[in-house]
Amino acid sequence: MKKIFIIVGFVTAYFIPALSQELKTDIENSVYFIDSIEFNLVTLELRNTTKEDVYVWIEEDSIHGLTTDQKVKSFYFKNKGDFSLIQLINENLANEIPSILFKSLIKKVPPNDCFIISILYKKESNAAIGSEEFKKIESFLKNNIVYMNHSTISKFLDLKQFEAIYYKSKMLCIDWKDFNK
Amino acid sequence: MITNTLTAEDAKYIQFDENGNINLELLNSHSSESGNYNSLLGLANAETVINVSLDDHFNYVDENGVAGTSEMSYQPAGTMAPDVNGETISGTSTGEAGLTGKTLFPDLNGKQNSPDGTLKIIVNNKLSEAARAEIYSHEANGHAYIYVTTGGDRARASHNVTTGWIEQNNELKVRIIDSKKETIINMRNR
Repeated sequence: MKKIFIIVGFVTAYFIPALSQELKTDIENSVYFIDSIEFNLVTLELRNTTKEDVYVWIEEDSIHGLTTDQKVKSFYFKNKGDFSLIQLINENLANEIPSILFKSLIKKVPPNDCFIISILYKKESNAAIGSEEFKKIESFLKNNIVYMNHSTISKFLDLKQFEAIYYKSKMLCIDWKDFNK
Repeated sequence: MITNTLTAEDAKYIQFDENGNINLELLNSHSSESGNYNSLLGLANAETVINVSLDDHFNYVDENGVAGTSEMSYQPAGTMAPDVNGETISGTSTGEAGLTGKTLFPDLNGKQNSPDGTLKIIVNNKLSEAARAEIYSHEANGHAYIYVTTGGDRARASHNVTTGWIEQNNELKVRIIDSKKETIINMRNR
């Protein structure tokens, strides 16, 4: 019979600089074991305490230092493959393909709602998660996730055209090994 | 816009009457090695009526014949990385972006189709002169040309994109990029 142990780690909270005192996020690290295999679940919970919709997407590269304009261009207007997201939308093609992390996965978070991004890190030993690895995950959650409120993004885009592709679930789970190669 | 896709020599054989109809006799009187000129020949001589316009919106009918209107969004130069040599499918040499162009086929097999039985090519009227010619190249010499020369084969004339966002319709991709490259060279040489 498999033995399961659960240890709740620590929580760090921070505000999104661009939306200071409007959005609150917590990063929580939970650890559990199944036999000798250690699972670390690093979870970011975003609570939209503003009065307008907030849009969330994830970039493959850090957005640290980018302006709002650069963040929008990078995700919506930059070619990824043969097309940019805006081109696929305009060609009526984007709603025929699934949400793709770093390309077309956009979450609309209404006021008073929340969105949770969980990253699972699995370790094949009894040792606790390395602090370096946790720092990498925490850094990813702080530097690769874009938050933009409705009034800001509306200056660049007609948001109506994206409604068909918004990510539906309130939770997104990512296996750290899948994209941290 | 159409003459900007051609060399100055080929453009001498392009003439429109007061209703905007192309002078077919003059067009057919000239032969050229140009891909863009030969695409125009193919379109102008097609049985399907082709309507080219500059606009900021277009009307369409969906697969059930229900009418709709779509506004054509526009983002100014510098929004996208400029595609200086016409090497991408949908970019412009100026970096302008948005809903830059649309081809509406005269059947009911897509989400947006022509409302009146003609094949419609609509190019965003906010685009610069250069970008208009490049987007016309994409819509007319890519989508429309394949559609009319294959007897209305919508699949061959349409994008087919994988989850990696790579164009799988190589025939369309090659036609579009070849035409855009030619247009950019012809505009540079004017």
